Amino acid sequence: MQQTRLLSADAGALASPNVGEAGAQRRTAGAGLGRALKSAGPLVALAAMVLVFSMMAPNFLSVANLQAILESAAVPAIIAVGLTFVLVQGSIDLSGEGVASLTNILLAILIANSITPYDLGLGAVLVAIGAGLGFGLLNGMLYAYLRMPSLIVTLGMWLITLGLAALLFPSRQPQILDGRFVGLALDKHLGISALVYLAVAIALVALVVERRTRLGRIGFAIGADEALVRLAGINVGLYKVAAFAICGAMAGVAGIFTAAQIGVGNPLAGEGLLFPGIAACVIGGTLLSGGRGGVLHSLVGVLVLVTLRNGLVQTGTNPLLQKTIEGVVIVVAVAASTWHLRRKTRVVK
Amino acid sequence: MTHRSAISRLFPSLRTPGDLLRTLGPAIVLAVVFALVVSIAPGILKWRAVNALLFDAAPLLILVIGSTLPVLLGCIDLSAAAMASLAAVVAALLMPVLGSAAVPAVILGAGLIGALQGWLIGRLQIPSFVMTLGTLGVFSGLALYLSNASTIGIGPGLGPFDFLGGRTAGMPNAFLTVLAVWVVLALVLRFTRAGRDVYAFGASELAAYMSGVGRDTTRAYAFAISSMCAALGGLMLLSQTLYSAPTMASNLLLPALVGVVVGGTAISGGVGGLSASLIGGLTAVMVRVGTTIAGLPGAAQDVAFGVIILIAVAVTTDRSKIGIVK
Repeated sequence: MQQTRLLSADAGALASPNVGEAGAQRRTAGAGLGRALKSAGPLVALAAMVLVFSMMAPNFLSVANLQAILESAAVPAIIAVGLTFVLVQGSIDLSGEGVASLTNILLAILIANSITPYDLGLGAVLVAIGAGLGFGLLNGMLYAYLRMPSLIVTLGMWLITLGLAALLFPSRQPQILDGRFVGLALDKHLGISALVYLAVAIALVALVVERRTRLGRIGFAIGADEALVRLAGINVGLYKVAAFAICGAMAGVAGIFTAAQIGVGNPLAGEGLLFPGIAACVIGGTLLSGGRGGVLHSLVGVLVLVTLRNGLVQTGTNPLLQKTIEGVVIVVAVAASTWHLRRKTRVVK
Repeated sequence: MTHRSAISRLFPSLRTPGDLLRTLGPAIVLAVVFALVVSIAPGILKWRAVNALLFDAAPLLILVIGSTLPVLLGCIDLSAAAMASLAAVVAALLMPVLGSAAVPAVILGAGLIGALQGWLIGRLQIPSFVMTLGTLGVFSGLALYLSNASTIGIGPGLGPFDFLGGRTAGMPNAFLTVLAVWVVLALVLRFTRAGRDVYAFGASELAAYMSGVGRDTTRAYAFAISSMCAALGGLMLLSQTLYSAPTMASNLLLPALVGVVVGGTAISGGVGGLSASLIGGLTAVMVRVGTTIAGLPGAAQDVAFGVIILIAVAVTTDRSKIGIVK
């Protein structure tokens, strides 16, 4: 009796997923709310975190602290936006830390500074962004045309750029003397520095590129099914190189932002940008396997990570445990946000 | 012609000169790097120098060997270096309580944590990159917390550490341990079912699953071995310095990955092995030593590492076997 009931339930589910006993259970459990939760999961997590922290630390929701959160989110947001274009294609770029360090040093020695006689002003910023773009292009071309795994190409480039940054570093730390440049981080408008406005503007442009251009749309298609895109006669290599170029340029911008924030050239300025950047993307729901996620997802992920860090400080958690808590949050958040993709035969590398 | 056919009869996988180059590529890279280092500093060939070199290189080599197993599955273990630091800290903390027994306890504990990590990747279905990125944070945070962000000294005269720091027949015991682990793991990979499962899993996870390979068990084994090797590496570092620091092994993360990759083990899984990793690991060590001896700044070492990765992998990647590269 039990056996036949189960069988008929299965048959009904097979014939038409939303009819019959099994279908009824699926309808009530699945539908609207579930789907909304799937895409809004990270946002819900962010809201919950804000709620918990604001109850534990009264200062958490103060204007000054919210401003501090935005300030510390600017650089990770730039890195995460750039990474998103690479991740949705199913590739990865590890070179961000090195590239950011290199552009930081390049900018610091080319703009008015205390060590070298150069004073290129805006030119220094352009050279730095150009260097980031160039290394991104190189990454993309080695990956797309020499057919080496992106993880390895960018691992090599990470080391190369990190080394070049240290080699370019003069014996003493160059202090940046260009007042307008340092002002980007120091002068506040409505309590927020220009860097945050710039980061928001860059994110908006990235969003338009992702949603409204061939580059963005085909990037998702490459991540979802690259073979199909190739069969459709699309020059996949070109779009891959473009994604890496964007990612490299964004890493370059991140290096420039850190230069404005710390006011000196530092060969390790990019340190600690890469893994949190990738973590932010995957927490926001951008899959490492590609095809899902996007700029907005990654930005939510950045806010989750930055809010967590800030909240841990505000609630007086032992700072030595900060990394441990972050690690647990990364694993739990990614497991929760991809739970609905579970299949017995799913391959996760 | 006859010459080539004789080779291809002996080694069926070597059909063209290109195959031969790809197979020997990592060894050639090692030979070239070694020749360069010797030409800069002939003194390195002295037995004492070799001895010191192998003693110094042992922790990195054991990490490279351990990290190979997850890579053979097509996964990656970013947490190995953090695990090495954590193991050194925990061992130094347990030493006053457990004495010499702290060593097996730490290695066993690392194995259990690694197995849990590998098993969770399958159960939670999250990529190993994300999982080990998370545990990288967890382990390094715990190492900081447990040690209160300070160094912990251990006294001399403890059996396991005297052994790891000592020599047998003129060879450093630490390096002999590396060789022993290498031989045992290579035999396991070659001759046991679990070992063959690792290669099957790496070549095609789905096909292996359909043929009855336990995915979660295989992954748990691989990550357990990776963590145990990492813990052993941490203990070797501890035996060298006789104090533990919470970040003492963190700069080994990249060289360990470089060693695996330069050896010719494909990051997509299923291709390569422990001998390849030993060659790659030795290359990484020689680059490090070479740049130091040549008097180049430490930064040049990073650049050399990066360039060697790109060249070695460009030469050794078999592009006929892979369709889509990610």
